[in-house]
Amino acid sequence: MNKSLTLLLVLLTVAVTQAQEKLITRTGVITFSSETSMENIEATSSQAASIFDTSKNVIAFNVLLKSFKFEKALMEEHFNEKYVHSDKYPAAKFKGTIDQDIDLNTAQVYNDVTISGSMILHGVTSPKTVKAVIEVMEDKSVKVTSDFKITLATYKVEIPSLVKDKISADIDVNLEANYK
Amino acid sequence: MKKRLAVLLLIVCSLSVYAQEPTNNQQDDDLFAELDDLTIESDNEVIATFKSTRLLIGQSTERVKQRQLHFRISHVFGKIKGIDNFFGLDQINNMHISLEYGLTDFIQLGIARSNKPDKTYSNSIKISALRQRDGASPFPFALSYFGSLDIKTREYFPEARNKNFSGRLEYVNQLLISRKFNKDLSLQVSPTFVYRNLTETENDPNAIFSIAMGGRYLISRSISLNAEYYYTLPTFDTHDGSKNTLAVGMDIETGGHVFQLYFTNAFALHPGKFAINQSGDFFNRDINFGFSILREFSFSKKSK
Repeated sequence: MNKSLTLLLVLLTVAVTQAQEKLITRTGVITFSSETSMENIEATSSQAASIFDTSKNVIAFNVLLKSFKFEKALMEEHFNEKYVHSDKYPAAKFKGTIDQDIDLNTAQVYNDVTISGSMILHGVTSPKTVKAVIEVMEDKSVKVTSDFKITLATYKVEIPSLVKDKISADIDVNLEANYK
Repeated sequence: MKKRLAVLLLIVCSLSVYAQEPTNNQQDDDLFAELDDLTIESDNEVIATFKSTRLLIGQSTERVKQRQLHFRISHVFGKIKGIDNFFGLDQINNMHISLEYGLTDFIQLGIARSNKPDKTYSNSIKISALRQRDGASPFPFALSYFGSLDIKTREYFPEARNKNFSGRLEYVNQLLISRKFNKDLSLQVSPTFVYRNLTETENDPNAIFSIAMGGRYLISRSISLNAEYYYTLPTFDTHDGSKNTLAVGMDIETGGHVFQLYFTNAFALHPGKFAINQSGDFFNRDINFGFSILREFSFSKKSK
């Protein structure tokens, strides 16, 4: 009887440790920008949610498109209403697998990490591979940063001809997430 | 011993369940469902009910957001009678300039000037009291208050009328109630009360109640068809139903600008004048062409 109890305890501990291997954040920062000779547009959200499952080397992001703040209020409205249709497709999502093991017990910087998976935006799912930097800090917190481009046409985000000169076909995205 | 075995069996069973790899899709769904729970919820405010803070000539429930400035120039031309006055374009009935600033996302202050007929300066406030919301805690409509203090600065005769400052004032109060029914259709009802301290003749009423009705229908991502009608209640003798204000037109939005083009029987573009049953007879071809250009500027801290 005692043995089985011990076994149960051990199993429980295993389950708990496994749960701890899922690092999370609710306040990841994502900035995207479009640069053309006519106009530079930038928007930032600091409400990107992310789960980093270190046991499976899987990382996933979810950000509500309405949480992106623009300098001009009208732009923000047009972004949501006319381009990404956030009433219909409220969030952008990404899920990918990291190509190397990250040791959470040693402070270390992994400079050249490749994350490959798929991104969902505007109702379109498309394969996506990005380069990232993963830093394991002394206090065991983890920081992930990444810069990548997305092509609007891939996600069927149409730019009306009237504003074609003002919005770039490729959007630069910068991502920073601090996990606890 | 039997008990022990049972416990062990149970553990092994649960273990094997645990070990069973869910399919890839399931994994995706699970992870994304977990992420959805984690994501900070948006306030689910319904946006883009109208493209502009004006339906056409009257106020809409849209507001100027915090640290944004709207600069608007509006014209209404003369009666469309024929080629001899170039369909009214030879003559400008009203030239209206306004600046509106978002103090917060819910309070907007404005100043405006209309040249004809009274060289009127308007000082306005718009308070967005309630916003339409969907999602978990929905709210069916948006409600705003618009108030304006108008000062007529033209020269009056005789001298006594000219010196009567309080006689130069009029007050506009509007409740704006709108609902976006779907992505294309939005409607608005606005009870309106105009009070003029001094009128041109004794028969003219000081207090005038109107109910404005209007809406928009999107025909493309950038263009909507709009209409609005100011029904003035027949509470005074000089009331003439055909002089209620009607405006029919469209919004064209091009990124930073919103253009509005319309046909209206109104001669003036401030509510102190167009909401008081003094417009031309729409059905007797007293129709004018008008337009407005809106440009938004940002003083947001984010600006670089």
